[in-house]
Order: sequence, then C-alpha cells, then structure tokens
Amino acid sequence: MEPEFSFTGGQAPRWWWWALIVTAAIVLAAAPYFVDIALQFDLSIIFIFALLALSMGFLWGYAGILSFGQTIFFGLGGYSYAILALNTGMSSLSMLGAILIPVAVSALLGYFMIYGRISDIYLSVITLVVTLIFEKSIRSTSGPEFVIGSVRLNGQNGIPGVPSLNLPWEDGAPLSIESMFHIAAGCMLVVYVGLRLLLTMRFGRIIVGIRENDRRMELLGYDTRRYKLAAFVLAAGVAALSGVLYALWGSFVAPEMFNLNQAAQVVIWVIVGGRSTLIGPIVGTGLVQYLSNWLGTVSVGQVTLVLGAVLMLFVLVFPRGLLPTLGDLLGLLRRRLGGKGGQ
Amino acid sequence: MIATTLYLIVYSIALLVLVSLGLAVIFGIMKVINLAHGEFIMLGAYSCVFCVNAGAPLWLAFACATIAVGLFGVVVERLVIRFLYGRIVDTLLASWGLSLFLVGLVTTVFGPRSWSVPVSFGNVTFAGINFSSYNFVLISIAFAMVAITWAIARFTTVGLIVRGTMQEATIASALGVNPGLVYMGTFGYGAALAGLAGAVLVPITGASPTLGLFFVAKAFITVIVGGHLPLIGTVAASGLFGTIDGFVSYAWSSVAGEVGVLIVAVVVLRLLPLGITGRMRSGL
Amino acid sequence: MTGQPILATRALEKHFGGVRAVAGVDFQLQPGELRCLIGPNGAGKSTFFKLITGQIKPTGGELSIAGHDLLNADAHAIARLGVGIKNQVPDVMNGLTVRENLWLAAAARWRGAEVAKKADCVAERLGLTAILDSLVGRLAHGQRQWVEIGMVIVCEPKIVLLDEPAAGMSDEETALTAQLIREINRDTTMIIVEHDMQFVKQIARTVTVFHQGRILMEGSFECVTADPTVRGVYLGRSGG
Repeated sequence: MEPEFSFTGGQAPRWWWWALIVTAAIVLAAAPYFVDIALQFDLSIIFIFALLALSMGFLWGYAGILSFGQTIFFGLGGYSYAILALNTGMSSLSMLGAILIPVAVSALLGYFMIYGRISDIYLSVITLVVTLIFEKSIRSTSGPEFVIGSVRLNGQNGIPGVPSLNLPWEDGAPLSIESMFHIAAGCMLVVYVGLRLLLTMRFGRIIVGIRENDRRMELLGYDTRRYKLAAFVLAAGVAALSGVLYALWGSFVAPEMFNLNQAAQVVIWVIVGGRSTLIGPIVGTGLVQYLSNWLGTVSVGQVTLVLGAVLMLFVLVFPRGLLPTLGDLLGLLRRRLGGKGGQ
Repeated sequence: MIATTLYLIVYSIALLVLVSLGLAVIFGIMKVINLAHGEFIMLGAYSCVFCVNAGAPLWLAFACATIAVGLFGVVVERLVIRFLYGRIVDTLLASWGLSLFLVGLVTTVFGPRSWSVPVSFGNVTFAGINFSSYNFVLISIAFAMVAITWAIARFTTVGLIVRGTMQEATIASALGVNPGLVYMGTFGYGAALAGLAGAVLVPITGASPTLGLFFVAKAFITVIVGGHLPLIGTVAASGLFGTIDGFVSYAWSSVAGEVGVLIVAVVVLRLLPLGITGRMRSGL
Repeated sequence: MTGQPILATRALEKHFGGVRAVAGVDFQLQPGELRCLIGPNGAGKSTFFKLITGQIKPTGGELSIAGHDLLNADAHAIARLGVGIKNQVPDVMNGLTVRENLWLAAAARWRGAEVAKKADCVAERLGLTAILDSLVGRLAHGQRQWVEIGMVIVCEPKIVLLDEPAAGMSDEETALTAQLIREINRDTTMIIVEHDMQFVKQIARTVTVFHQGRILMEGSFECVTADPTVRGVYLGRSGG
C-alpha cells in the first residue's frame, strides 16, 4: 500500500531541507537587486496567494478537514484591515486586529461545526455556504447607510484607498514595492517553516494521527474535536494574514475575495500542487497563477474555462497532484533504471 | 397583504423545487453532488432561447431544452462522472471543474450578456393582487415535475429498478440490469429536469453564462438540507426555505431573504446533520 | 469475594428502532478479573461492548467505571479514565509507521521524552522492534492486531477491553495472543469479547454468556460450556 501522504510521522526535516530554506531566504532577500519592479509586484501576489493555499493545504492535507471556506477568512482579513486602518490610521494595530477578527469568527464557526459533529461532506458544504453568505451580504452593502465608523462598505465596488503599512524605518511613507515583496515572501517562508516544524511537535503529530484515524485517536483518549478546532482556527489565521497582505498589496478590497471563483482557485492551487506535502500548495499556486497570467487578460471566459479544465483533468488523472505524481514517476524511473543496471 | 405573502411563498417554493429537483434526484440515487447543475440549467436556458428564436412555440422550446440537456447529461456521465463513483469529494470537485469550464466556454462563444426571448404574458388579478400569469406557468411546471417524477418512480418498472438501486447498489445487477445504465439514465434525467428549469426561467431571467451560478447555491443547499430522499427531501426543504425566503423578502429585501435562508440552512444542518430526510429509511 | 467493582452496569439497554440489541444488563467486573463475553451472533455482546466504551450511547440504564458514573460519556472521556479499548476490526493509523502509532498512543498519557521511552518499551515487549519503521498498512493482519494491542497497553490502563483480539489469526498467533493476554492480566483487569471457543478456553476464568441482549449465565468456563441451556443456545456450534 503506497502511503497517500509522504509524511509518515513526526520526522524532523533533514539538513538539506534547512539548507534549501536558508538558500531561499537569501535569494528572496536579495531578489530586488536583480529582479525588476514589475516582476516583484507580480511575484508578491503569488506569495500572498501561496499563503492562502498553504492554509488550505495544511487544513486539508494534514488535519484532514476539507473546508471551502478559507476565502471567508481571507476576505474578512482584508476587509477588517481596510476598515480598521481607514478608521484609525494605525496600520500595525489594524494588522493585528485584522487577523484577530477572522480568527474569532473561525473559532465560532469551527466550534459550531466540529463540536456539532457534522460529518465531513456537510462540513465542506457549510463552509461553502458561509463564504457565499459573506459574499452576498457584502455585495449588497452599496448604499450610504452601510458604514462602519467612517468607512463605507460600498457593496460590489469594494473599498479603495486602503492605507499602506507604515514601517518604522520607512517612517510614514507608503509601502514600497520592494518592501511589499519582502514582506510577502517573508510571511510565506516563515509560515511554511512554522507549519513544517509544527508537524514535528506534539500538536502536529496528533493532528496527523487524527487525520489518519479519528476514531482510534478518540479511543486513545484524545478529544479530537479540540485538536480539529485548533487546526481550523490556525488555518483561518494564516488565511486572514493572506487577506491582510492582499489588501496591502492592492490597496483595495472587494466582495470577490469571498466568491465562488476565489474559493475554486484555492482548491485548484492545492489540488494541482498536491496536498500530501506543504510545498505542494505553494508550487501549485505558482503554476496555476503563471498559467492564468500567461492566458493573459484576454477575457474572463477563457481563464475560467482553462481553470475548469485543469480542475477536471487533475481530479480524473492526477488526483494526488503534480508533486506526488512527479515523485511517483521519479520513483518508477529509478526502479526501472536500477533494475536494468542490476542485470 | 396575507394573500400577497402567501403567493410570494408559494412562488418561492415552486422556484426552489424547479431548480433543485434535478440535483436532488442525482444526489439521492447516485450519491453524487453535481456542482455543474447550475450550468445544466444555463444550457437549458440557452437551448430555449435558440428554439424560440428559430420560431418554435414556447412549449416546444421547453421540450427541446429538456431533451437536449438530458442527452448532454448522459454524455457527461459517461465521460466524467462514471470514473468517480464512491468518491464523493472527487465528484464534487470534478463537477465544479466542469461548471467552470462550461461557464468559460459559453462566455467565450456567446459573450457575457444576457439573451432573452420575445415572449409576453398577460397580467392576472386575483384576490386583489396583480401578478404575471407566467408565474402560474412556473408554479404548475414545478408541480408537474414532482408529480411526474413520483409517478415514474412509483408506477413504472424503470422507477422500481432505480428505487431499488437507491437502497442497494447491487439490486440492479441482481435484476439483470446493467447498473451503469441505471446511473446513466438517472444522471440524464436529473440533467433533463435542470434543462427544463432553465428553459422555464428564461422569460423571467433571460439566458446568460452566469445564470447557473445564481441558482446553484440555492439548489445545492435545498438538496443537502433535504437529505437523501429526493422527492420528500426537496419538497420539505423547498417548503421551509420558500416560506422563509418569501416572508423575509417581503418584509425586508431579497438579499435579506437569501441570507436568511442560508443561515437557517446552517442551523438545520447542525440539528439534523444528515438533512431533513436523513434518518428516514423508506420513501422517495 | 466481591469488593468494589471496577466496572458495573445496571439495567443497561440499547434500542435500535424496534430491536432491543441490549435489553437490560446487570454486569459487574471485579479488579484483576479476566472476563470473557461469549454468545451467538446477534446476542448483543458487541453492542454491549460499544456501550461500555462510550462508542454508542445507551437508551437506558446505568454505567459506572472506577466509581465514576458514566452514562452518555464520550469515548475519549472513558478512555481517559484508564480504559484501553480495541475494537474487532484492526483500527490503526495505516498511513503511519508502527513507531508513530505507538508514540501517538503513549502521548495520550505521557509527556516529553517519556513518550518515546514507553513506546519503545512496549514495542520490545511485543516483539515489534524489527518493524518499527514499517507502515502499519503494509503489515500482515496479525501484526496489525498486535500493534493495536500495543497501543492499548502502552498507556498502562486500569481496564483493557478487547473485541475479538484473535480474529483472523493463525493458530500460532492465537496461542501467542493468549499468552500475551494472560501476561497483561497480571496487572490489568480485562474484558474480552470472543467467538473462538478454543481461544476462550486458553484464557478464560469467568465467562459471561449473552443471549438476545441479556445475560444468560455467568460462571467458570467448564460450568458454562457444560450447561445444557448454553449448549442449546449455541445449537451445538461451540468448539467445546
């Protein structure tokens, strides 16, 4: 029986993983010196989306919870930051608040679903429904009476002019593209490393155990609901961070952050990259977004068409995603070559 | 005012039944969640527009749309769904992919704007309220859908085999029928119902690539909350949501109605995790 | 002879629609006992097992373990009290290694470096050291059963409940399992639900016979198997 997941229990990363991480950190830190501004801008949004994909990849691949609702916290993170920052003018505190609010919502929603022992597929459905609730509700707030503090929600037009982050050393100036690039890359790297290390710790190992066999873990004495809720909230926090960064990147938030298309994209990123690794969702995001950009701004129709075809293709042909499938192919090649060499 | 509210409620219920029954049949019998259901509705709408613009009377356009989308459903089942039986999450994802694909395809080929049919219906006054007589057509067709499906299930051999397969997947082969045929036919039938729904909706909403997206959420929720019995579940859930939607829409706004429905759906699923008919052993 | 029972039920019952799977059971287990539950198919032993392990909730009656009143308690709460549970079908983490399975089991009770130590200890005791790094899903059925038994005892529970631990095992494996159970019984109270009479003969002291959701008879293995009513209930299908 091939393991569905490459992670088989509590192993700490090897030395070469650490070497790769350090290399990546150095490359990303130095990137603005040899990468032009436009590319930095494009890469930043890919890192931000990769963060969102990571949140779902972790929740689905390692906690075994298929939630279509990461966009709930993505959107809430963006909107919370926009509203807090525009009202208070304090960008750093707004960032904090903009992560805490979605986390609180996730705790509520998660408690409701997980402690209600709602079965897997219905949980997925509810998360999809809730993201639609948010999209529809916010989309309908066009009128001037929909105001929080001094900020109009603006319905389907979204909130423009979201204030930038004031870095202590850039002192009052809006975030430069290089700084945005560093922040996006840095967050993605830190969260990736953090999640990877979490999996070697007690909590991470228990969560994987629960994913493998919930009932067995219960019979061992673990209250699996608590652990699943914690994983759900953690994933929501990461998605919220992604939402905040999105708002900073584009200076703009809109109800599209909650919609079906955005939710579908997250699913596609994770499926293409594969959910049996943490690096998979990151790679998947990069590939799919590159493909979408390459199709250009021809028309919305064509991008949707290709995304749909990609999703169908992967579910039917590469259900485990690209990386695991590539891994399988490499393994197959090695065996074939090894066999021939052994003769 | 009571009459208006009552009418709005009946209309809301009928609308939900119309767009949900196809999905419910497929879900109840095959345990497949077909997220491309909205696009089947959309294709039915476009079929209707083409037929009417080619000169056919409306009722014929309805029939054509039903058959066309039904056949398309059979094709989809053979090409995609067939490989994913038992993998409920994968059918959901693959059908989602199909949905995106179809929306993209139609947008590319026909453009994003809405197409309509030049059909007009008179107004009718009843009990002091003035409303379009087409709404009666919609309500009647929704009712007819339920009645015909029930009749087929209850009184025909085909219905018997399908009902048996719903309870126990191996019954079809035990009766000498290829189970693949049963699934193919069921999926086609569900698609046909969706096609009819789309056609019926055209005079009201027009045909556009995103028509399906508007209705799929409602249909989806109705079916999931309805539970695994397609007829009873759909009627019960539609009754519940139609009432809430009709009432709240009238009292506040249509968006409030939609949000109200979604919230109630979440609450009901919390209380009845398998839907309204989830624990019912027998019935349709 | 009887002190405070470590596990007791009174009038415990479970209805499924019209069927009374467990129809009012008064059961007492003394500390240190090794009790076997036997009975024909559908007699209610597995349902009773699921009731006392919190996996299904009773429709009536009382349950107490180690003095705690536990009606409607969740399975994990019961397990926390020091109850080790193993269901009939091997229920382990197939995608993880034997080492990780044991680690997870031990981590429910111990912390820090203790966890790995306890896990290794149990692995040694059960002869699993050689396969520690194998994926459980790849092991033979008998080995998987043993991994699960290892997971159950690594927490050093007060009571161990096993549902058909020898199911699907060869004669040799069955004999080893019987020996293991006798060892475990030296410091742990046990309830075993079993079908295989040869196996029961190897381990049993006191036997409780279930029939149609009730306790038909309780006594030593010899008494019970000689009893004509019990034989009748089994329709002569007992291995004797």
